[in-house]
Amino acid sequence: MEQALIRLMCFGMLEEITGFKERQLIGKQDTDQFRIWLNDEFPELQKIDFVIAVNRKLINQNTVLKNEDEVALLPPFSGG
Amino acid sequence: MNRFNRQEILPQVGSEGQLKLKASSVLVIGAGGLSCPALLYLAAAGVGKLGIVDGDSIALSNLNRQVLFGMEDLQKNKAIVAATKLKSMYSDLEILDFPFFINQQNAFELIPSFDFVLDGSDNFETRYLVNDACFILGKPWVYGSIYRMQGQIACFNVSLESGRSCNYRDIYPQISSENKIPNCAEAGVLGVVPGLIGSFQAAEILKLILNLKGALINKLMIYDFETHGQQILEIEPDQNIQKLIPANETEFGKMDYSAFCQSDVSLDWNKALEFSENKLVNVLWLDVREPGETPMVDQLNFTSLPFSQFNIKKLDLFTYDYVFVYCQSGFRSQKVVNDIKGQWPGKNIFSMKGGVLEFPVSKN
Repeated sequence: MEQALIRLMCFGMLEEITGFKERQLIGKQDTDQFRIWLNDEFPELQKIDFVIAVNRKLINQNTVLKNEDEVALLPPFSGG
Repeated sequence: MNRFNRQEILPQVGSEGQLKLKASSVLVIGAGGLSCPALLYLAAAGVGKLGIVDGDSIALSNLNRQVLFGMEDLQKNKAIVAATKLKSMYSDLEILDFPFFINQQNAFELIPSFDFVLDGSDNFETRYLVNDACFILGKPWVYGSIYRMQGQIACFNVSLESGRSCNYRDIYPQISSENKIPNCAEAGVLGVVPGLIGSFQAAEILKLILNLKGALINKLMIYDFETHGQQILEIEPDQNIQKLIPANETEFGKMDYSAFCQSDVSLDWNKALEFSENKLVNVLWLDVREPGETPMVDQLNFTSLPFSQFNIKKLDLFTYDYVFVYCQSGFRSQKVVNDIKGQWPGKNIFSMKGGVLEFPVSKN
């Protein structure tokens, strides 16, 4: 099976933690697998609330990732 | 020719739209970096009635973004100054000032007499409180908030044929206690960023009033100042999430917004001392012990205000970015912090864990 190449985007303070605004990522079949990778790679993220959007749609359950999917990580903002 | 000619000749507005604007009312929560530009545009567009709620006073560090205020306004109440300025610009509008913070006691008196709410607050407690009150009252509201160079905007709780549109909890059901998302005082802010986001919020209110296309209903927009990139995400109302919202005014009054949004109000001495070493933030150390209680903490440049005669009015709290309260063991200071939080939900105020008895001796 061909491995999915996804476009990963970080917003707010997640960009500061991961060190990138946008990058490509290969080989994550679904969002659960992606989350495991994320926690391993950036343990600090476990302390921060954020939600995941796939192809500009907020998801609240495990979602299959396809080639060229866009995955966005969105923390809440507090300032005003 | 009237003041609104240039928008009345727009097919999207017309004289009919102008009458709608005149007949509409908006309650603006907070008069800070988001609300100042929003208020200016709502008033200029001829929204007939505007309410401004803010218990905070104008500090020097507000002036880079709170564009309704100038040097002559320092230390005055934000809601009163904002209302006075807008009244002097447009005497025909009804502009009401509420010079106190919105809280669980007054939310149900304030919100019902307005058609829409615009939240320009700077903290999670107020945001969840506004979200829940608007949900219970069936009031549509426009959300905006920023983090450094980015902002989020959405229209929440709009009545549609299919039912209510999404609210803030459909995105962030609740904030976990470990969460530490900094606000402007901590993270820094370039004034034009809340200027843009606040203007977007005013634009969304106008769309709702005028029934224009493209309001951010069931959508969340994220705007990035550095790239001008915008992400518009689809969101869906979630019936399960509604269970988190109190069912009525009585239940709303029993919620503990400060406890579930803000982590513990008590803080370790070492963390507080670290904060106070940052010269860019203005810190108040507050000793609430009675005269004669020892030892005094000479390392700290503290203010003494005994618990037995404690009165928040004796302190110019607005001039401080952080307030650290301590007593002998941490019990009285915790009570003081909870009391102040009740009146001023967004204040960065903490009780020192363990009190003076736990003060780290080795720390200079």
